[in-house]
Amino acid sequence: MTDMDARTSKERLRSQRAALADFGLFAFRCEKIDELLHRAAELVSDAMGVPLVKVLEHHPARSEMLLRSGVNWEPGVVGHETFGDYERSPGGYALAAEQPVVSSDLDAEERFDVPEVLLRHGVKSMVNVVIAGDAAPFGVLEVDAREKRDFSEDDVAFLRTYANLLAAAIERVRTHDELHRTAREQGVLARELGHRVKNLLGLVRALASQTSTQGRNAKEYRAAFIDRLQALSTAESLVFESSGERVDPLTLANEILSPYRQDDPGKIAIRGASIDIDSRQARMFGLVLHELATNAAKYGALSVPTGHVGLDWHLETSDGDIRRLAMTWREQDGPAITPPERKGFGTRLLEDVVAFELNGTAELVYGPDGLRYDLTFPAAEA
Amino acid sequence: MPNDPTRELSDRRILVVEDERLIALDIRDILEEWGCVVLGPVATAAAALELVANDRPDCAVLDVQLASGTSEPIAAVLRADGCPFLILTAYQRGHLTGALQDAPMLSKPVDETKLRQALMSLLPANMSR
Repeated sequence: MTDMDARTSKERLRSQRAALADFGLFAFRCEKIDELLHRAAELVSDAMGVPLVKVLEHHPARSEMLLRSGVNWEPGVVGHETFGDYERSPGGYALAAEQPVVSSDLDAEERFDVPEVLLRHGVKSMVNVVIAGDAAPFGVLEVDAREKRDFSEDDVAFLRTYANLLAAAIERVRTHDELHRTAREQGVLARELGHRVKNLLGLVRALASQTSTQGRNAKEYRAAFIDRLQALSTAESLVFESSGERVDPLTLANEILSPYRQDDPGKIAIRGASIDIDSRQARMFGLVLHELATNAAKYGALSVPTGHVGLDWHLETSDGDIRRLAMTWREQDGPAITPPERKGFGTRLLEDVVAFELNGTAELVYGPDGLRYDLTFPAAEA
Repeated sequence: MPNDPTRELSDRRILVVEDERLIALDIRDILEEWGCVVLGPVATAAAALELVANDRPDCAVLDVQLASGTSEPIAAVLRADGCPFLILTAYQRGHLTGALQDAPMLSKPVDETKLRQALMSLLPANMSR
């Protein structure tokens, strides 16, 4: 090695170290992958004294390597040119080799074929190093010289260090992007939750204002309101616990009606299919069962020892394949009943509100052998 | 009732658009308590527009998010018609669009005092009956 060579080599080492330091600073501020890759190519080109530098991004699904970034290439090459990732391509070979691949004379290269775009740019020698990734390598950093060049061990070591630094920076940007995306999603979820809570408070207010004070003392009013709130909250809890906001009416019925069945489940015989309905339907279904049961316990079949109730539901498919849930509540062996003189919240809910909310039909029949309630509504599959 | 602050509201015709039926009935009860004539409540923009076409309200109370779409089309028609309206929603101001954007807004659950004040400020006091 001549003095001249020694000095050049020393200078190159110094400029390579400077390039690493520069890139290190840049990499930890940069938030865009393309800016990162471009700066990396620029600095490598300067530090190595090689004009043509490129970053190939591996796309395993397409068996392809995209020339994602680079410097000093003809227009239309960067961002467009692709190579196969098979072993006869320089990038593919480097990926498989898992260590730097040096080719000091491409004319004599036998391990892989030289792509047309490199020939066109007059590339005579090259070094390729893998850019690692979290799960799989990101791709390959390639340095292409226009002369036959014996790349030194220091050159290769520099590129290796550089590629590792680049890999870490790419991971950092990707993680950063991922965090941003998650934060955005969390924001949307929080907004939806806020909306839902306010709506629910609106419902609670409606339950309070529509629970009549007529004929009730304060204690009775409070009990009636809290019972309704409890039914609403049971339905809401099931919605929150369920996956995809679907609820099984059987679970709901068992929960809501449990106070009336704990001594004797036969008091209310539940014969319903285990299916799923959406959150809004579940809320109504829960409120309906609660009103029916409290009413029966006060005035109907559940107010006397002999009385009992049959609760059935099943799915019907008719009217052009629309799936409908048909439910019947039938009270038997209870006292004689008469329609109420005044329509209170219960009646309003069972007839008006439910039919409206569920887009279905609801009918209360005060029969000679007890109350009967029929409800049908469209229950689309999830 | 000379001292009743809501007397200004009696016989006023108020359109109510709300798709949550229990809440709709709650609002209807409040308004009727004040002597208002409630148009609706209706749950869709289509039903509201049909009502408005036949029966011009003095004011409207609109929920934003309906089961099918938003109440933006109703707001646009009411604005063009010079009919005042207010929004009663669980959303925040920033999520409103179009003709809903700069309308008076109340947050759910409804606060009766604020609703009454908002309606009184929207309705011209000397309107001929």
